[in-house]
Amino acid sequence: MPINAENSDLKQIPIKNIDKNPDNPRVVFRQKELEELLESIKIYGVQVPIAVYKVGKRFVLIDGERRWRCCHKLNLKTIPALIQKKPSKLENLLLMFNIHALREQWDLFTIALKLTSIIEGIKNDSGKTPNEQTLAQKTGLTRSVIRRCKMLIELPEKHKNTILIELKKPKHLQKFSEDFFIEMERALKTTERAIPDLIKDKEKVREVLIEKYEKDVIKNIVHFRDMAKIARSVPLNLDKNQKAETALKKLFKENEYSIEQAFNETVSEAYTEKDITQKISSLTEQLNLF
Amino acid sequence: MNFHFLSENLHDTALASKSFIKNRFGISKFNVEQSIHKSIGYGPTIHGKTKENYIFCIEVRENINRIHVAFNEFISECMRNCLPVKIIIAIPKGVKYSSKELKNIKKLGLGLLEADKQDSYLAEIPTNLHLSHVRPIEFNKYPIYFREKLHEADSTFKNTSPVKGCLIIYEEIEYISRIIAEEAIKKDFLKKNIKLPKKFKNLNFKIGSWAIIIQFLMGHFDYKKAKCPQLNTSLLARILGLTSHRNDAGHKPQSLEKLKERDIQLRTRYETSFDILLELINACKPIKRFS
Repeated sequence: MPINAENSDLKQIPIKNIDKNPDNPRVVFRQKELEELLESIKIYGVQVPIAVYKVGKRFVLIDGERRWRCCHKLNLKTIPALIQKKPSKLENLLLMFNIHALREQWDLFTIALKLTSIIEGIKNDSGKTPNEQTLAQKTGLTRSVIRRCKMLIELPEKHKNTILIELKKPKHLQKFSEDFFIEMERALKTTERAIPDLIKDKEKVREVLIEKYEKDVIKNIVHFRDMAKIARSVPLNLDKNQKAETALKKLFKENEYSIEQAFNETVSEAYTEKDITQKISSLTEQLNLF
Repeated sequence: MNFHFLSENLHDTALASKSFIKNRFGISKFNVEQSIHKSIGYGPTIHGKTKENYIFCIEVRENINRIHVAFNEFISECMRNCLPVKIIIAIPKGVKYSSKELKNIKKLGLGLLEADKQDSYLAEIPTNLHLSHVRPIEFNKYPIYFREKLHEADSTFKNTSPVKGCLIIYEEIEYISRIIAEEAIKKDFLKKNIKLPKKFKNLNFKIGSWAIIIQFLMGHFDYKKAKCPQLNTSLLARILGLTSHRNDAGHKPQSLEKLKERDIQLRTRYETSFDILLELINACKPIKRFS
């Protein structure tokens, strides 16, 4: 069901007759962002109509929850709204994804939370689990965003709660961001693939790494990429001194041992060497062309 | 409490502020994000009325580094409409702010609450917004003897009770009036050949009615003889005008509109009584000099 002005009625509707959409994937509304919008509405009014559908005498929001919240605060009586036909549950969710996720910078985790419902909905409609391509087509998200979302969905509940708590904080105060967990999970997956028997208890390893990050032993989330490099060095035969496994084992224990240290003590030189070798061979190839 | 606008991470701060205000100022009924008056649209996070009909507003924020346009206009609207309002900005305890930021809050007449479930702290006391912009008092023009009381009057007027603030100044004027009356009798600064009416004959200048003492001075005090030309009937008549408000604290306005009306009058009376006190201090110098 496409959302466009031709299929909708544009009306001024009473704010008190509007209800939130329970399926809105956006669960975190940051105060600073709301206040910025509040200022704009105070000065210029609501310039873009919200989108709603009608249920009895009331209206349910499809798009514009922040505008609606601001109007409440300013005690405005009405708001311009495009009134749509009532969508099905799946249509409702897909509508929101297509309206919001493409236009605004949504928190990845809020998208991830609702992506599960969409996968279920499509599965019920078509009888098969959608692949990344189908999901991308339906939701308007890129495949890489969907992959990142799946990584978050697969996290244990307790870490999901951590993300949710962090998301409520202003951006600059968030420590355990979605990106932290994505970087950590990627590195852990690479490690599991490269050295299958190394991680016996994944959750325990997660806990150790989280604590190290909290205590600033791991200073930056991009260091997890070096952790993946240490693990990859084994199948790539870059770990000539066979120190990688020992270093990772040490890294996964409660101590002050950082990824930076592990990387420098094991494969840093090997990767630099590999890098230089690659550059030389590429240069040689180019020279040969002349 | 059902918040539409306030972010979820600030709900605990709002609840902590609510219980602080409830315990400290005895407000039991609160409204959430609703307009405080028909003339104002903006709804502060929480507001409630005191028994005296004063409106107490709490605006919950993440910090105090910037006051946004809508909130700023809300403050101005409250002042313009002369609404009896006190506004407190509540932030989560532990959020840092600079002394400059606190100064800005103070300048606007707002309060600051560092809210916490266990232990909230009122870092800045809010002023009665509609009373905070009275003419500034030049305290250094008054003798040191009175200054402490006058500062107390100013702070009481703006922060707690405008009626009591005015009363403190009346008491000072009354105190001087009684001294003048006593001195007038003692040093015989009374007009000659006028028989004292009965009500003045047994007048006790220490505890007698202030109004009657002023009436006595108006009728019998000879300011020429006392060499106090400024202590004339005109000044005494203005003091007599104040005496009827001496017991104002007992009459509580029954509605917000009545309270608003009364406080507008009090604003004028507050400024006037400060002026009268200064005039009286200067006028009575030949009789009694205060250092």
